[in-house]
Amino acid sequence: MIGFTMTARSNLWIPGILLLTTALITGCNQKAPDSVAHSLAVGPVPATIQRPGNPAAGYDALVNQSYISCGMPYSAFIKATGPPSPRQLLSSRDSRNRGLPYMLTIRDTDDGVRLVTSNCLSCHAGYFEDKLIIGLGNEFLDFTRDASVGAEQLGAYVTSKKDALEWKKWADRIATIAPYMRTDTLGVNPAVNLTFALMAHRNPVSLKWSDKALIKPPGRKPLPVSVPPWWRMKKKNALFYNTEGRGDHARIMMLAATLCTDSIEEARAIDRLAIDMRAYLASLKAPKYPYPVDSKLAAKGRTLFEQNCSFCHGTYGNDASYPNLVFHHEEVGTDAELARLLTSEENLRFVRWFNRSFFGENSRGEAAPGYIAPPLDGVWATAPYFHNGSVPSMEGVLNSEARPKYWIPPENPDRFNQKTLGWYYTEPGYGKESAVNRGEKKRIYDTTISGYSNTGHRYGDRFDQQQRATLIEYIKTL
Amino acid sequence: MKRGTKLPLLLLLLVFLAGTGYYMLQTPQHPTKPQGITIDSILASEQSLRPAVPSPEKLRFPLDHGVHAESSGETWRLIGKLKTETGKHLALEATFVRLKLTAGQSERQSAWTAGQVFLFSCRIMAAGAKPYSDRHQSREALGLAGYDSQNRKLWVYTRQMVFGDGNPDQFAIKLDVPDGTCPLSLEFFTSHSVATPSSAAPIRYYALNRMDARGWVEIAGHKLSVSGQAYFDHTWGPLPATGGQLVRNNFVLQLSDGSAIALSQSRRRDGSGKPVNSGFVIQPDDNTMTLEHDGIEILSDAYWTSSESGIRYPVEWIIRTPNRSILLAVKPWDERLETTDLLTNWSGPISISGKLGGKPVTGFGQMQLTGY
Repeated sequence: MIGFTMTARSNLWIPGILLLTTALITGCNQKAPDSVAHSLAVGPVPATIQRPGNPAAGYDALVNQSYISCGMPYSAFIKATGPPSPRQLLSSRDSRNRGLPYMLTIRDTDDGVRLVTSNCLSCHAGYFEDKLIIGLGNEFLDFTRDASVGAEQLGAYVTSKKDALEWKKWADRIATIAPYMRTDTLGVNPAVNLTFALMAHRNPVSLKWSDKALIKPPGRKPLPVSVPPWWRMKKKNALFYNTEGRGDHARIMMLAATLCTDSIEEARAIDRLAIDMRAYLASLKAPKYPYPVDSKLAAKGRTLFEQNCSFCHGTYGNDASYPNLVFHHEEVGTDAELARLLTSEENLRFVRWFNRSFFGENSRGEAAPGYIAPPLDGVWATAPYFHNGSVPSMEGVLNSEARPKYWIPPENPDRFNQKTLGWYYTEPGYGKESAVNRGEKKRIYDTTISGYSNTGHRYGDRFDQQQRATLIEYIKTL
Repeated sequence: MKRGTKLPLLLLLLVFLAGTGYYMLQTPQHPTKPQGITIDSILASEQSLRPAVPSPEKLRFPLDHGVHAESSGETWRLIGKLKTETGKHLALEATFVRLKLTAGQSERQSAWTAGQVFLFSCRIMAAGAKPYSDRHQSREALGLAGYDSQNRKLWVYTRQMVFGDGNPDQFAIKLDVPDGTCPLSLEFFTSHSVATPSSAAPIRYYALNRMDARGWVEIAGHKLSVSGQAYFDHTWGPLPATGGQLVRNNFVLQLSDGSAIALSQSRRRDGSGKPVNSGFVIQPDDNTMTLEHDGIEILSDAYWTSSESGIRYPVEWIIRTPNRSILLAVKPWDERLETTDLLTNWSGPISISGKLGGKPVTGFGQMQLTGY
């Protein structure tokens, strides 16, 4: 699905995997190249049969195989970075990769250069307090910096000619897309804009890269996205908030490798891995709530949930069901900018790109003018909430009055608030415009900014505090 | 001791040169070929740059004035502008460098063996005049060079830099060069905050701005009482001494309003790509402010071509922010400061004029041009 490689604690940034955000109507290899449209449909999203894969092989591919073919020369990486934190290491990795942080993977090129490449876990693995959870979106990444700076500066550690060639290829790509992936707020993800930028620089038919944009690139103000958990994939008929990822999910996920996939041949090789990786993602289960749950209170909450929430979000337990329903942004009321962007005429050039590309062969995009009501398995672990990450706690999701207008997230997911289901945050009392310095400005989540609003989904406002408490207790059990 | 605002990771490449041994690997005039330190040995040392263990996150003084043995490289640098009793201005640069020569500690139990080498270099010059330089290096063996943590003394032969005892209200440094071409004895002290970069980076750095300086220097047999102001920085970590694929232009600017600006510009040697900038400002109130790549422009303004190497160096610069809150012109005291003995570089004092926040400022600083 998406990813960026950014070592949260190093000075290097390596964008990697991307969201598909385009919308298109295609048949399997039988579409007219330029036939594009947005889906105006809301309501149920139909299921699509997925290519079967091997989950175990998918996990191995995810953590041991390199599917992004450009990266940092290992010789430079090892000089420029400090030793990884023990908690960044995965014992389940193979011997080549065991010493690397979980979000990086070794690749040996045909020319004998060992590279360190990014992988999906940059964005799709996160800490819940001290535990790393694969599939949990990383909401603590920093995309506010110019990614090209770290990539260029790594060159100080590159010495051999072969290494230099690989470094330049990677650094050039980063420099090209860096302006499109720079957010103004810590924690939010620019994947949508980054995907468009990569499309703009790649021939959709040959997948050949062009340093010069081949179509008009996106704007330079990425809309913020919160990274959804992978374990939802098993229930969802389409990928992404606006359900634009329809059809073959594995092929859509492959856009993750768009940074460096320069040929159809290379894409087909990645496709073989992607089938198994999708199967692995679909096998993931939500983590269990790690703290005590008041079962009596949760039982009351379940009744309330099933009476008021299940129509959109499904039921849980033995007879679980999930309706896959999309709601118009005017109905749900959450920030409309992403839905508007993806269904705009302006955006059709990216639809056309996808429509003509290898990635669109078995897939199609149908961005709806609204948002899917997500499955809520493990939702207690996934703060901040809404597609733009604008609400820092479940308490705020259930009570619009409790949503902070301006808030500063913590630097790390270390202190979980069991009462509100979210990370402890602070409220500065002012927005970005009044920030005391540039550092604080980046840290303030300002819901008055376009794309960042915390409006909508006011369905919990009807409940009193006690009812919300029962709902929160039940949500802990999902 | 107050702790300055932490600076983010982006300025690390400022750091890797701001205090590195580039200057150490050269002698502006009267070069003496270094004995035992070669490009090959530097390249060899770069094979094991990654520190074996990470440094603690928070700096601790006086402990962090000293050697960080886990790091492959380390520099201590003083840059100062001194004034004699007759009003003559002198530029001072004094640098100690420690380089780890092997990946791990030597297992040989002999006073002759050592896993690291220490280098010292000092230069004093007046604008347009001949620089006076002093340079020594030694392996750590036999007590010829090293760091004495008990007495907080860094030394190479008789050259030494002694740090204060960690008094939280004042940082103090004493620099002594008892003999050679430019003997001196100078004391530096400041009650201003220490400026620190982000603690999680593999390269660690801190700086002390506006250190008052006093003491004497001896030039051409004349002992001169001097006083002035200096900037000190200490860097350790995986310092890329040879620079890899990059040309780097580094500046430390001490300005008349009490602020200091440290900047680094990197660009590829082959001319491809675009230069990237990083740096920070230590404000007069001791707070630090990061300058990000797009927050500062570093533009070459005039060139000087070395008759020895043929290299064309950009020796005059314009430094500015997009909104012109910083607008500074940088000129060298003397453009003929290339060295070619070990690594071919340009390094020397600079004068600064311009505006900061719309108000006129002047200043003094140091510029290093490496990788050309």
